[in-house]
Amino acid sequence: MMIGLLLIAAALFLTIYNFMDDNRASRSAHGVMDQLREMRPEKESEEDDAASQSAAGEVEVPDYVLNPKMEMPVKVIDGQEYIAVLKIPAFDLELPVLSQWSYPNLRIAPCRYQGSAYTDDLVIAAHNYTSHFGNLKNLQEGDTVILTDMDDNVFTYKVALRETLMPTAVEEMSSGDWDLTLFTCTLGGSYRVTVRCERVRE
Amino acid sequence: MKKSKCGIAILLIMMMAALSLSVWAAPAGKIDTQREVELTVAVLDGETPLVSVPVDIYLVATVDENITLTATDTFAKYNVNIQAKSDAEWKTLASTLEGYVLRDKISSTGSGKTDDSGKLTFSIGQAKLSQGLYLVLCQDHTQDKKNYEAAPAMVLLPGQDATGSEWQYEVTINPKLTSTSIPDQPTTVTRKVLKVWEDEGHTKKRPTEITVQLLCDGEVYEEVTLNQEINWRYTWDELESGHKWKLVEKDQLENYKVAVTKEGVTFVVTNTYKDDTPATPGTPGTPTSPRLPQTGQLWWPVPLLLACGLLLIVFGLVRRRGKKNEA
Repeated sequence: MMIGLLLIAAALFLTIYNFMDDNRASRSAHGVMDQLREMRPEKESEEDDAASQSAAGEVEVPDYVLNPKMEMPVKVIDGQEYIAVLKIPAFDLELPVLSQWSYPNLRIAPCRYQGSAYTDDLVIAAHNYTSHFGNLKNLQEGDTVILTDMDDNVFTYKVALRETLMPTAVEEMSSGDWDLTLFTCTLGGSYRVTVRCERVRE
Repeated sequence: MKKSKCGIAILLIMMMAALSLSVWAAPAGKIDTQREVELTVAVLDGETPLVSVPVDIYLVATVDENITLTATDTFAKYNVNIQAKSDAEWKTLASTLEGYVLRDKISSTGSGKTDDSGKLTFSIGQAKLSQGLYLVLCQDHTQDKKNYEAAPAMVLLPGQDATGSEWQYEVTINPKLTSTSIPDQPTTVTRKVLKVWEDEGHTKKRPTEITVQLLCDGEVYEEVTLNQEINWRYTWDELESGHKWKLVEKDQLENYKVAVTKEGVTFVVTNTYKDDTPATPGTPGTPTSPRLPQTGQLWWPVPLLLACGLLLIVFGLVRRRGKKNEA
């Protein structure tokens, strides 16, 4: 009976730890978002503007259009490089995206697993904290996902497919010609909830 | 020693092969190198002739009867691709060379001004033109309250007719014009530079930084060093309008050809690796780990621990009751 009580206590402890960790992750991502907002003024329009016109009437073509192979520019916050801000309006979620994934990085914010928004093959991984990608499984086909890079270029996507992959499906994750892929662990941690998105071009 | 001789032989064969590349497919056959050539530059805004536009032409490469181009001494020092294969590549070559011509104050092969019909013909009343590849530059021009900018152009003398079946020894070109209204008040312009590397598989040979020069009316206005840290790009804001802003790569890079184009307000400087040897595979984009990252919190033990705990408690309670009953 004593062991049983100990096990229940362990379960409770783990639950409390998980909630606290989720809370910490939420604060860390929000902290980065606050700093990013301070660094750049809010864009009035969220239109995917491929080219804008300068005061002198000259066309300004975004750098990524001229060179899609260019590295996504980064902004550095607390020594970490961020490439974009990911917005999922369905969950009222706005998260920074780190340039490179690592386990310590995943504790802070979603991370680029591979690819680039400019070559339409970006894959983003995040922990299944409620404040990160915990609700990914509830995204529906047609839901909007918006990515804004550090040059303020806005990329709009629609969810096209939701699938569950094995943790060994490394190649499958990057195959399939999807413009954007988001993934996280299932609650049990054995599989990967994967959301495939297609870019909406104006 | 034997190895080095063999290497030199291969190099010579490669060089000969490169030299024998023709700039155009030649259904029109060989060029008659004895015939005189004539070039007319017609600067017209629709039907309206632009009068007194200063035009300069520069001999970039000579051509032989087999249409093989050989860069002239003046232009051989620039690492550009004179063997362009499409209209876009010819435009890029013209744009790239224009920068060097302006910066290095290269003397023109011929110059003049357009007449009342907006035309200027070279070879009439001047020294005869040699056959070859020419760069044609028209200076910026103001007429009828409009500023005109003509795109630099490359032209081969003789040229092929529209069907490509015959050589034409009298060639007329119409430079592409961009017109803008003269602003009432002085305005400013933005210019950007973006570096593009076309060197997949050879990135180790890429220099860590390069220097570009922004030219204002042919004079160096500012030199800027580009590198990975600043994403190989730079922006100049609030430049005075009404000037000819051009950009050149300062130094000729070993192993790389350079091409400068202007897209909107951005100068795109592309360096292409020259080596023809097959590229070694680049760094694969896919992570090498056999597993996807573990992106889950540790939730699975919670129900397990709870279930086991409850089971053990129930088991304990049952045992205790059993013992009580026995007593």
